Amino acid sequence: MAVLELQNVKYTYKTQYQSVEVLKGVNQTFEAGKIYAVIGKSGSGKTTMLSLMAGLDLPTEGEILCDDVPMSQMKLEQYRRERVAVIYQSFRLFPLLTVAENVMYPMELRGIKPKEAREKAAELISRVGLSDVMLNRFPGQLSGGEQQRVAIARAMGMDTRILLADEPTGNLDEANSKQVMDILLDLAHSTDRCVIIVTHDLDLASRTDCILHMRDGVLS
Amino acid sequence: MHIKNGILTTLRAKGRAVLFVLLILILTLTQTLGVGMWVYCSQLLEKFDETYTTIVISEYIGEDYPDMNAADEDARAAFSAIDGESLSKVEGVANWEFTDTAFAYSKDYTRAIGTIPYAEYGVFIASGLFESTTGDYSGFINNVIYTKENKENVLVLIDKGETDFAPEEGKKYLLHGFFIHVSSNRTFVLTGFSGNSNAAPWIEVSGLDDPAIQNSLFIEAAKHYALANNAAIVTASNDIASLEQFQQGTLYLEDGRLPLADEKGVCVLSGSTAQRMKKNVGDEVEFNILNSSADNRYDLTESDDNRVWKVVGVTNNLSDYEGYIWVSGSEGGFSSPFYGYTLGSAVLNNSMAPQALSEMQALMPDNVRLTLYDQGYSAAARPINAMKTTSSAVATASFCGALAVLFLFAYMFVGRQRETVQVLVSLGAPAKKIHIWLLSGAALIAFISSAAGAIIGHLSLGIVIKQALALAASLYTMDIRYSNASLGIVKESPVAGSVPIWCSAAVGGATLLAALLLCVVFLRQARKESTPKRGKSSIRVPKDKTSTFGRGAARFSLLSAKRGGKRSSVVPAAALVLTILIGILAVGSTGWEDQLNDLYENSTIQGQIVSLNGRYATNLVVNTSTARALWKSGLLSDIGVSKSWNYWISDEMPSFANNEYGRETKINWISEQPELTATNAISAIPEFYYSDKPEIQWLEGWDESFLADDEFYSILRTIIYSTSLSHYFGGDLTPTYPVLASRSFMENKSLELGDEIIICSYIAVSTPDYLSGIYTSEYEMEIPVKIVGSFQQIGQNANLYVPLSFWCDPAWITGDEDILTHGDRVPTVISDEEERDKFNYHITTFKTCRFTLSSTDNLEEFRSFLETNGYSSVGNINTNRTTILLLDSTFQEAADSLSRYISFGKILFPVLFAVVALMGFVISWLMVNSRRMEFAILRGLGASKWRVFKTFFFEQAALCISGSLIAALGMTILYPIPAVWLTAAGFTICYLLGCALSILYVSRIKLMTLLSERE
Repeated sequence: MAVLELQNVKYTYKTQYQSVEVLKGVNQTFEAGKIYAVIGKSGSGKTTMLSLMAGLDLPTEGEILCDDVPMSQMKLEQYRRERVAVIYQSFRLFPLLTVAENVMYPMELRGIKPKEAREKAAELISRVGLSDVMLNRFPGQLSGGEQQRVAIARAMGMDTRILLADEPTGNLDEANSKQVMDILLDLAHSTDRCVIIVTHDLDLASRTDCILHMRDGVLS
Repeated sequence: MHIKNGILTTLRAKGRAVLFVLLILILTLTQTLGVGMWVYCSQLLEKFDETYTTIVISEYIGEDYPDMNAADEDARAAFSAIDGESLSKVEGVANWEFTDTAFAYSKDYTRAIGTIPYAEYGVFIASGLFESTTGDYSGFINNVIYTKENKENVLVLIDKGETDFAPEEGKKYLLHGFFIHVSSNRTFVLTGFSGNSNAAPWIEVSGLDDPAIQNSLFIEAAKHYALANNAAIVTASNDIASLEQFQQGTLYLEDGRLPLADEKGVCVLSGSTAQRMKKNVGDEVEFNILNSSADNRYDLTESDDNRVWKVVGVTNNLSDYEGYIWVSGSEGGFSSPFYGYTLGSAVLNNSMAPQALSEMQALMPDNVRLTLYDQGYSAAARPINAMKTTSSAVATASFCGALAVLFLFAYMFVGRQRETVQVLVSLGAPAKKIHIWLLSGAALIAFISSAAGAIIGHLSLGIVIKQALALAASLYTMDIRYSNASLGIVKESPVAGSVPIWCSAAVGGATLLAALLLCVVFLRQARKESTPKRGKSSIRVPKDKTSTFGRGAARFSLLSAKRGGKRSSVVPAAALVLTILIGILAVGSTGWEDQLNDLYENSTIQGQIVSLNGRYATNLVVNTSTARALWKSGLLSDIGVSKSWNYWISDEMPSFANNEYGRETKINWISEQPELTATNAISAIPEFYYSDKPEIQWLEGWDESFLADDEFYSILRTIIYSTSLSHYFGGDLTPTYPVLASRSFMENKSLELGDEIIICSYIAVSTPDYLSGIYTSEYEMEIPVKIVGSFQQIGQNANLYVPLSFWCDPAWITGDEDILTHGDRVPTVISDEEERDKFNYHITTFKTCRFTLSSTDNLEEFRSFLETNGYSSVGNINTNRTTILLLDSTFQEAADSLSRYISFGKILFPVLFAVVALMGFVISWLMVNSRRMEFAILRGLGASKWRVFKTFFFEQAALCISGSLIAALGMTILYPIPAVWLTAAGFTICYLLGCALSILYVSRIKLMTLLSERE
């Protein structure tokens, strides 16, 4: 079942110096329970497509449909809050919030009370393989792999059907990369989520259900 | 290449570049204007110092003021009591000099004008004497030993006076005496010698070569008269140009120069002296410094001190200064004993004159008045000083604003270019090249903007200065009409040249330098952060646990604020410091306003009628109608007038001959007696003008108000009533008048409070007369007085003070109804009491008149009243020749000073507040922008814009308010005024406004852009 559909999505970056068409009409359907890998050269438009799917901006042309509802008809904030979770290559954690608080934050955004959110956060942290000791640590006290797992836990805590990951293992070593990939595969397959990963790592991509090539703004 | 790339990358951010070019240009422009105006004002004030000379004259205001030859023991005591060394050390006193004058005699100088004390005295040989029908003798002057005219072989009438002179026919006589004018003839009255009254004023002689003449009293007397009548006045000073007559422009050099300080052997002659002596510049004059006796300045003898001076300068020719000679201080040392009233003078630093005057006054003995003559400096410099202060404030505020903007500029153009630095570092670019890359663009913008600001500032400076001068003149020019702050001449203000271009260049250069320095600082920081470090970088880890406290945006705000460390302390610290800064200014402004209000409430301003030159306020002729008109202005709380007569105690009067000489001698004797003064206020008594209000001991049941009581039957009515009844005066018709007497007088007469004595006085009474208009008769009255109050004597004479109703009803001046209204006919025949009052009202004059304004708020209105009614001010004759002097300089100075502070505060406060607000904005902008990534994560996680806004706004508000609150509470403890809270609230609002704008600005940036930024 398609949870996300890109219909002739085009996107042009306009700066004061130049105008660059990054996506040149992308058409793709993403289904729940599957994990996708988007691979391609740098500058091919992978991250841009991911950002559009994350609701960070709207396409210049075309439409993105989430559960058959065009994104342009949705409130992007609500979409980001309730429909999609994003894992960034550089983690994007709040430096002054503890691990637990970082995971709790999106839950609190959805109206869950802090105490309840904390319990759930502890559970999620445990699920991504981090001990309880880590709960009260700050991101700065963690290794890169640990931080990425916290970011995954935060994404899981958002309880969305779509999970986007931009180079999730880009800053991790081989062992950590494998652990993170295992978690993402598990999320897609055991929780019926649609997981889309943007990566350069072909080995990693090979473990996904579907590999998509992005070339000069066109997905194939 | 690096320069080109640096400039191109900088200029391609067009909006940012234009914004900062404009900001830096504007702030450089305001700095240039501020500094330029400050330099202009400084130059102008320097020119003022070259043009204006401020001097202060120290005068002893005693009984004999303003007699420059008086031998007043109190004045001498004051002269000795002055500590010249301490005065010289007073800050602002450039040079203090005691008065140093002496009489000198030169055979080349004969006085024609001025004080000639023995003008009528003479010694000569007369012959051909024969007795006339009147008992006098007629004869010829054969040989003159000394007479002013020095005429021989002329007819003379001789009155033998008190002597038994009985000349024999055909004999010659050496005579001593004085000339009097009886009808058209000159009569020579024989009189004894001063100090040897037993010696006969005549001797028979054979001729001029008679041995009896040599070394006789006659020769001594002749010499004495010649010295006194031809004495020149020598003044020694090391700063002759600053002596009052020169400083005030009365005298000026017509030829030559003034002696230098301590220059010996030279002198300057007044024009009339040079004319009389037939001397010019380059000639020599010879003088003998004369010795005066202690009690009579004109009791002169020659000394061994002979001087020969070369004339180096001659002044303009003024008859008032005939016989005046000036020499340098090194020629002086004359003034012993001291005569006159001018104790000394000082040259003051123009700008410090008011403070110096105040300090000098504190060092002066009682009854010494200091009078400042600043040639109009104070009035002219006031707006310039105000403009200078304001321009320095504008320059400082602009400098602070410029620093804030330059800080932001350096952060934006260099500090935030870490990525570029990283790239350059990764490419192995040397540090120098990285510096050039980053600095070239920033330097270009800084140079263009600062140069443009400086050039525009320099070009517009002339117009701005002109406008600012006009504004300052309208704001700060003090109203000195009729004020004692404007005594003497007023010189025209000089004009300063243009402001040198280096000022503008310096401001532009300094702005550019500051921009470059800040850029270098941020560059070092950027390089430091971009340089790979060995080992694990240290990460600051807050010691805290997971919190579940609070909900919503506030929860995140409080956590961030709490864990922000140094970042969280910046805002409260800045809020604290800046709130205190503007709070202090607000407290100062409020304090100044309170002080000004207090000053207006607690000050009293007195005024008085004075002579046209403003030097004395006694012995005037003030019409009753003049005093009445002043009172009727409705702006006075009291007005005091006084009228005096010489009095004596009957048994103390010596006997006088019953002839013309006797009458004249009696009149002279009476004129030297103390005065009986009728007044309605102690403030109108000259004796107390220049000392603190006297401490008076009153007889029980009496106080000062008796002077204004109208219950006493006036002596005028007594006389008129008595004469109309054709019997002698005194008895029941003359009431006993209460008097105020000095304690020394009472001790001398063995009197106590409550004692009564009888004093005598000549009282003149006038009546209308068909022929002459007014006919005046003098009546010798016996006046019973009762002492009801005593005071510590200040003057030499035992003056007595009686109520004004001794002479007239005080209601003539302060009553509800006019005695004689404008347009009323002055009665020419008196037929009833009302007409008599009208006539006497018309002819009565007072010798002093002093008044107090009912409120300081009425000051300007009263000045306008005086101007509208044509009253004269000192040195400026108007349609009404009554000269008014308002003693308001101290009040004006204080009020002006406070007003200036308040105006300054009113100008500075918004400027400073704007700077503080700008700094608050910059800080808030930096604080918010430094957390763009957190902003992006929040938004990326789906937090609404409003929630993100609240999150950051709450945090910044909590931090800012905490700082402002502490500052406001602290300030309130010290200065509990609402203004402190207003300033705290003002700063907080400005900061939060900046914060809100910053958040809204970041909100407008695309999330993708924010997320793609490097942390």
